[in-house]
Order: sequence, then C-alpha cells, then structure tokens
Amino acid sequence: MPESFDSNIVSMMNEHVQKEHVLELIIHEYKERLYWHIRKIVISHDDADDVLQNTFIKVWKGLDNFKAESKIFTWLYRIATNESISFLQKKKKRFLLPIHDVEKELIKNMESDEYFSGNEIQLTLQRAILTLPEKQRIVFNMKYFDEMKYSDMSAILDTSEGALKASYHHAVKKIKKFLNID
Amino acid sequence: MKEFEKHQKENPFEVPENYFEELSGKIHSKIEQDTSKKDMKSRLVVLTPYITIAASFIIIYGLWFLFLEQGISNVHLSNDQTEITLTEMDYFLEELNQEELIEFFSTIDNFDTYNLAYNEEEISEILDDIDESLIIEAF
Repeated sequence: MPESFDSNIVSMMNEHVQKEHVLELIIHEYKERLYWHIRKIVISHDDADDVLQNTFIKVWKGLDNFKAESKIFTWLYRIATNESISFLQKKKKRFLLPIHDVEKELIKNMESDEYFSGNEIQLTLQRAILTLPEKQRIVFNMKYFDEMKYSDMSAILDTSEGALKASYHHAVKKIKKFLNID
Repeated sequence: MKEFEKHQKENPFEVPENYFEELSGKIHSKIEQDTSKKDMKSRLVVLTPYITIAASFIIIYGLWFLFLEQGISNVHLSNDQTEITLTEMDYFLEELNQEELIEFFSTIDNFDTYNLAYNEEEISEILDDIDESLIIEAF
C-alpha cells in the first residue's frame, strides 16, 4: 500500500482541508478493493453496495478521529469487514435464520444474482467457501483471492498471525474435502 | 487446489455498468441527507427547552382558564343564589307594592313587544292574586 497516500491524507487532515475532498480521495483510491472484499462476504451486489456506502459514511464520520499511527488501508478494511459481518448478523436476526440456513441463503443469492458470471468451477468453489464458518471464510478470501499478507490481515481482523495461519489451513482442508481433492 | 488453477482466482462477480463511476455521488448525497437530518435534530435539541417552556405556559393557562374561570362563575352563582334566596328576596318582597311593580314593568323598553294586552287595572288584579310563597319558590 503506498505510504505516500496515507501521509498525504494525514497532512491534508492536519491542514484542515475540506473533509469532502479528503473523502473523495479515499473513495477514489479504495472503492474497488473494498467493494470486492465486501462482495465476497455478503455475495449479492445490492447488499455489497449498501455495505460499501455505509462503510464510507462511517469513514466520513470517523475522519476527524483518525489517528496517524494506524494505516488508512487497515482502518478502511477493518470498517468494511465489521460492516459486512454486522450486516449478515442483522440479516440472520431479521429472518430468524439458523447459521446453516444463512449459507443456503447466500448460495441461493449467488446463483440468482444477475451480476454473478462464474463458470461451473467457480460456482463450485464459491459453494465450498460458503460452507466455512464466517471468520474462516473471510480469512480464506483475504489470503487466497486477495493474497494479503498475514501481518495486514492480523491488523485488520485483530487476530494473531499464528491463529490466522491455522484458520487458513483448516479452511483449505475443508474446501479440498468438499471438492474431493487430495 | 491445483485442478482449479485455470479459473479459480478469476473474479466470478460483476457489477452494473458505471457502478464505480456513480458510487462517489451516491455516497456524498447520502452524507448530505444524513447531515441535514442531524442539523434538524440539533436544532430541535436547541429549541427543546423553549418549546417545553411554551408548552408549559399553554398548559398552565389552559388549566387556569378551565378551573379558575369555572370557579369564579361558581362563586358568582352561589353568591347570587344566596343573595336572592336569603336576604334580598325577602327584603324585596317586603318592600314591593303593587304601584311600584306596575311602574317598573311599564318603564321597561319595548315592553309592548311581549304583546301583553293587560292594562294597569288587570295587572293590579293579577298581582293581588299571586301568593308570595309561590314567588319565593319560583326564584
């Protein structure tokens, strides 16, 4: 992540540059990365759109209190991840769904989503990923698809690197089992 | 996992056309709505003590109007009743003589509008026949 971007944002905040302008720069820099991160968690485009907008609104509200010692990248990903998780929890409560039904619901959403264009292999892999527990699924997506460093993941998810490595290892094992791969 | 290497890491998800281009505008307008709602709320918070005071005054005035006014009219009514029944009525009846009564009624404006076709003699006769106790009862 370019550290110049972070320092640029921090110095703009210190110089009391308009908050709208700072937010605009952050949106421009991070909208796609955060969208794909959220989309892999909540699956449907409409839900990802809602969560992403809420994420940036939270960023807007928190900009005044942002501390220069933490990276903007980490801060944004943490907000996006928490927003996605709380969105899924709200959904569970709203529809009174048990955990396994949430997975079914997400698979159903993915298959009927007009903005899912994956082939059969990709669909099978996504089905396998959706059988994982929520946190393990997030860890798997961040490592496997985004190829994120464990140190960054640790800062975002507030979990030790060792625990993340173990979580990823378990996730891969489960997916292999689901796909009948040795 | 190697069997999946051909396609697995390709992004199977898509977004609507121009989604990323339009996103920033949507977020800014949502923030504007949020801010104006907040402004309205904070204005209401500032005005709340004044609204409370004004509402209290209205309630107090309303209660005053309802109870005090009613109380005053009750006092008047009871005073009137007391005056008429106990003292003044007796005094009035004692002092009343027929001539004064005739004179009193004849001085009332538009007395004729009541179409009372009585002359002075007839009125005197009627008044002679009236039982004083009936007048007291009637009041």
